[in-house]
Amino acid sequence: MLRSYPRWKPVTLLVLLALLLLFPASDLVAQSGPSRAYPLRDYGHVFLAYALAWLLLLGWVVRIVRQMARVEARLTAMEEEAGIGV
Amino acid sequence: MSLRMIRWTALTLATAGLVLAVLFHWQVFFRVPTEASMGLVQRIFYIHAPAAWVAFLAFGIVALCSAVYLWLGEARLDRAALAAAEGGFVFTTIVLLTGPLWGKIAWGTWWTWEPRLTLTLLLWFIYLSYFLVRGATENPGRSQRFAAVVGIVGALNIPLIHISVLWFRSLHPQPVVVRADGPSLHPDMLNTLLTAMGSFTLLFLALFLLRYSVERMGDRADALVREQLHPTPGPTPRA
Repeated sequence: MLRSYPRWKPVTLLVLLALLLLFPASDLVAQSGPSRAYPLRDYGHVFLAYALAWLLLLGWVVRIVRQMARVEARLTAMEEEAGIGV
Repeated sequence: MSLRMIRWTALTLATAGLVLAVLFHWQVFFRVPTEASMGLVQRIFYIHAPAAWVAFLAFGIVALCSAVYLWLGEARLDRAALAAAEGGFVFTTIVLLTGPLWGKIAWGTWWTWEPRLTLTLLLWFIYLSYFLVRGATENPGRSQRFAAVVGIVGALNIPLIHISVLWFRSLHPQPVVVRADGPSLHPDMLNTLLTAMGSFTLLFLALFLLRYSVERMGDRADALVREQLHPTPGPTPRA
């Protein structure tokens, strides 16, 4: 029962992402006023802030998945041991 | 709620959160107007403020679960508090890392010891101590009770963080959404901010549920070990 993972549907997710990204954005960009040049450092800070945020979240995901795998392995081993005993 | 149910709920929340994340990144980089005074770097706001909101939500859950745990002594409340504390710690770290990246361009400095920043750093240290206290004693029940007290004390800091910009002279901007006279943001900016908050909230709830399920499984494994070491006598057969 513990090993029943829900299955991802990668194609569904890809189609959803493609639809979101292909949504015509050009008109909306034009609404945001005339473009202005910003120092490269500003782009770097924005990029770094978003990258750090997602990396930290990813780190938490990896930690949870590793803990889950460890506990599942422990439980399976104990259940097998109990089964052999019976 | 069964483990299977928890996982399905977490997966659904995570999928919705990721869809909103794609949407809000598109809004941030293609739709939202650039703020007039700070320029491009103000776009960090759409990740900084939602992370702060989720951190407050997480520590609110920690305080609530800890208080009820101290009252009723139910182990699942302690598990929930621990799972929420981990999330709150991650999101507070995001706040503390993205803030200086914004502040360096907007204020000309990475860090300043002004009230909101200092109190947020204090919150981070309080929750760091929450994890340290959990492993501080040999008696798990005792350390869980100590950690619950730390969790409640830490959450008392949250209202102070919010009102610090109103009470004290501060470099940090005043609230732009939670105001008596309503939000002062451009509608597109507000829309983007709310999408980002929704995304982070859903992702946090998904990971919180998964982390909670891990704790529950760990407790089940511990219970099995105890059962094997000290087996309970079975029902006595009828004569």
